Amino acid sequence: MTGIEIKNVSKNYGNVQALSNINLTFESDKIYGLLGRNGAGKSTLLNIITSRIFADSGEVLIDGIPAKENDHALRKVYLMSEKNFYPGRMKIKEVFKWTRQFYPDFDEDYAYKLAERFELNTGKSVKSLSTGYNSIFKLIIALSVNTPYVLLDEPVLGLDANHRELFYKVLLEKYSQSPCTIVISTHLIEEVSNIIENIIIIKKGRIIKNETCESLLASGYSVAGTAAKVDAYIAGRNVLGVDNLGGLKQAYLLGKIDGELPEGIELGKLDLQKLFIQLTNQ
Amino acid sequence: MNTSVSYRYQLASQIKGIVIYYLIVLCVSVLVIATSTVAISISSADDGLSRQIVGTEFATIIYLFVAACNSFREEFGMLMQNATSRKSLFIGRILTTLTISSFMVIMDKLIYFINRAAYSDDKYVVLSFFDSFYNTNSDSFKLQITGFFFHLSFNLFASGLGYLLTNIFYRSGKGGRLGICVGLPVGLFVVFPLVDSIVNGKISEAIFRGLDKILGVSAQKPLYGIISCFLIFTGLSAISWLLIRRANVKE
Repeated sequence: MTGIEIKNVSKNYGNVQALSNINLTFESDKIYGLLGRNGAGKSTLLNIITSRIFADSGEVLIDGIPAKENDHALRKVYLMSEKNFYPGRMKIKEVFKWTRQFYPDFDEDYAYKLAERFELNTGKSVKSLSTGYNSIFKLIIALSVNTPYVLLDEPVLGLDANHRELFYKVLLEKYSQSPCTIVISTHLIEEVSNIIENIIIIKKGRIIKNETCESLLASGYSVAGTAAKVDAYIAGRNVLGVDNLGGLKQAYLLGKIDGELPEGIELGKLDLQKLFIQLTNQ
Repeated sequence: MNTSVSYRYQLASQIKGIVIYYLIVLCVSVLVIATSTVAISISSADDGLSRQIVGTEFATIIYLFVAACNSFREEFGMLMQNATSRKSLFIGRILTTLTISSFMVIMDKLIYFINRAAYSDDKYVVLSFFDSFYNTNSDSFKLQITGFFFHLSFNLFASGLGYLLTNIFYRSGKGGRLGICVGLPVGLFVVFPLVDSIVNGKISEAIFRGLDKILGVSAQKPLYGIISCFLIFTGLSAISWLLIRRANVKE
């Protein structure tokens, strides 16, 4: 499996450039975080991969096969999108039944087990679900569909903290049992930072970062200590952001540590969210 | 290709509506039969008039048009969600239309025979949609087959037209949608009659003459009508395909 290859993809909506010459590969069996601000082009990119919308130029290959209007290639991908495309009158159990028809590897038993864990009533119709349960039923399908590529667009939208935690737990369980490529497009960077292996940051339709989470976090560090000591240390350095807590301060810096750290200053890891804000605000 | 499952899904999404439709048709038929039976039994004097029950199949044609008008957006979303290409969706749609249209012709024929059996009295003449066009009231096998294809071609035409309209509606912007919602009825029911009356009905006359020719009514050639409706259905479907093949899912 060669993964999902996106080659020179561009897309405009009128005068607005949603995607500009995107070149990207989602490799097999990795978990990606697709991060970007609102309107950055994340959903547009995911929709182009699944042929829901057409790119103005460029192409998408899924395991080497052009994905555009190709059932064979499209069957390898499942996109859970923010918007619900399942008929409102359809019951969840009927959605499961039909998903099995479209995706033969869909594990219906596992879907019912997950429905039990998430306390989802499968006898309910799609339109009667709350925002949170709307996300949950789509997540259950995404986790049970068993396609080599699963794309999750804002997967935890409307989910409470308990359900979010359960989702991340189930996602990792599933991934460890049967690895596949998972792309999580989200705003909740802190939450996914422990799950994702690779980070792709998209800004105004362009990829500005595409590297492993580890290497991205190694591009900087954080220091903590009393406000005075931290202020003295960060003077003249590339500061991403600062957190104050009483008399204590934590600063996030880009670059490598030069020389010895002064006494009373504690070294820590870079915060992904701070880095993201800095990169996307520039 | 996902054509098979696309076909099954689109067919399944229509079944409930068809069942409800035929339940209503059956209820209405039973009610009308009961009413007329009572009317005959209490009527003492024979007024010498014969009453015609004509073209109940026309309701099916309208049903198919309305159903087609409502059958794109939701199905498109569901099939796009489930890894189905537009090509598979369209082929599935054509197969669904053929299946449903044929099934409804058979159902209408059954209802026609039930009506004929119920109105065996001389006071009533039951004519099918086909009979009303071509002045035939015969049970010959050849005519039954011709009638089947004639009704089928009309069903296909109605479905094709409804599907095209809903596709145009889906692909249009706000202005286009307003044009369809307002412009179409206003054009058909206000502007057209007005313009037609100014030219002393010459436009409608020309339209009727044209329809007469393409349906072969005066010439009593049902084959003309069958071929014309099939060709129009093919044309409408081809335009629908051109619209679908570039349709984007709307977020």
